[in-house]
Amino acid sequence: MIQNVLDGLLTGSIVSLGAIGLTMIMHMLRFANFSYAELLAIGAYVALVFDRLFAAVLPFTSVAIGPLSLTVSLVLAMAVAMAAAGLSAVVIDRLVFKRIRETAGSLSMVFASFGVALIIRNVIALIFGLKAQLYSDDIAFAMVLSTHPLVLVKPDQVFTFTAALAIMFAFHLVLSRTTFGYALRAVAENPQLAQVNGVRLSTMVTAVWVIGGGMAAAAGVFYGLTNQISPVIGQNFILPVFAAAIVGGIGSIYGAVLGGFIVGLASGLALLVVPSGYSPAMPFLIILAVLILKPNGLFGEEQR
Amino acid sequence: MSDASDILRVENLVAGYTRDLPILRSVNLSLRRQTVTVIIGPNGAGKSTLIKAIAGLVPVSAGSVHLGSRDITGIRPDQLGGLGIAYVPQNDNIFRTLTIKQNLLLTLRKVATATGRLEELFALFPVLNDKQDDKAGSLSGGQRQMLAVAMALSTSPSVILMDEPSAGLSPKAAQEVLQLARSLTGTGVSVLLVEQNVNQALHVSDHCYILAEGRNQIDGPAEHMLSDSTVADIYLGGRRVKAS
Repeated sequence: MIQNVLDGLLTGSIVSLGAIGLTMIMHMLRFANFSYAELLAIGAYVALVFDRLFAAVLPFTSVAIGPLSLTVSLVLAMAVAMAAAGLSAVVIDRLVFKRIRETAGSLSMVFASFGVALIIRNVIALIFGLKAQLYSDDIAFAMVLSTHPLVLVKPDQVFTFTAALAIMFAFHLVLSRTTFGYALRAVAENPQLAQVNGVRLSTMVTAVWVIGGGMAAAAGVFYGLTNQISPVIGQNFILPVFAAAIVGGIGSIYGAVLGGFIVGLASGLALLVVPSGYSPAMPFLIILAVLILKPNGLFGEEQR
Repeated sequence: MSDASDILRVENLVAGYTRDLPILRSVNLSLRRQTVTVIIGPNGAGKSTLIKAIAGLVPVSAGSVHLGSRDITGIRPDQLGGLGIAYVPQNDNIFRTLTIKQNLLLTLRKVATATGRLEELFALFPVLNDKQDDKAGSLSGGQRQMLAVAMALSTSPSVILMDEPSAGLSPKAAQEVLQLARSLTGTGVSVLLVEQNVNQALHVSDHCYILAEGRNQIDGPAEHMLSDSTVADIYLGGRRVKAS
């Protein structure tokens, strides 16, 4: 059970990172963006490309950091991936969603997001193939935390969990200590009021896409570091990140973080009672339970 | 009434949420410097639409809005503060999830002397100073209106647009908020007010416009409106109100 909890926390930290941007976008632009999780895939693959590039051009960066399989080149590549995913999110918004929200309703945006997701997924498959890939071919040995019961943790998992928490804490500092953060929260709560108080909505929409894209890319790289990447990462993560956003309450950034951990833990603990093949259904059950018992989520506002 | 002493002029304004269905059909209005002007009228007259159109929240299809000599027709809402206009919406006029201090710092973020201005605002509203680190959502209705007015004042505007500031408040709190609107004129601010609470609003106003069906009906000094039998019959429940 302890192993399931640890695995659940790790998954939860990745889901939380992915859900932060989704909840902000859904609340601000009032549509369920089913293409959002593809930003994880974009981030993961951009990092793969630049990891190889940095390792080839600057061989000294291909050295693993301490006990991790993470290399300096991958750290650099992750920074590029976060920027690229943020930029991709802005470009997709300008080319697709912005045009649709100016002329049509939110339902059209939802359908468009399905289309965008399919396009991104297939373009990645076309370029990189359907085969799963690894950032590192080195075998990462797990640390034995306990023998009775057996609890194993890989250094990469510890790093991923810590780094995800660090990114979320840094974002918390931005939200709670800076006027830019107040503006982000203001737009998430009441866009029109934020506007009349001097916040330019289009600038904040761009900022949210960049931040959300960057965090999604980090989540994609962290997932790749502890698993393997394939063009269906986005497809696999879309339900967990939606469940996290819904559990936390649409628009609640802190709710999305908590929701991510709830989804991760629930998926991990589900393995104790159901075969692993049924574990991906857990987010479905969580979404259903929340919508029935607490439709606005843990921290969401009542819909008016 | 339109001359150099006017800070805000609205001329033949046509506006509505959709272009082919205007709510305002042709409205004219002037706001004199350092005065309170109230807009009253039956439900659906277009009072809130007028104030929102001035604030850039409702599309204008014809006519103009001038702030002093500057044409601000169809201005983007986020540009209002920089030009000297502040807007206080009727409902949801504060950010409940931010603290009182964060609400004010948000509106002060483009002000060079933000720290000094924050202290001035807390001095002006001691009740907010005592609760500056509390979530704004925990404030009472009257205190929320005070915070909304403090946010509006943060950029030192020359005009404040207030949409039914007394709505949903107790009679005492409503009276306090309207008196606050009146007192703002002493600081150099001009106030344009939309109110359903006609009786109390007329007592704190200098001038009054009555709208109906998106058009001007009557306008004149607020004091005269209080003693006007037509206004009393239609808007004050058929009884004249003693002017104070």
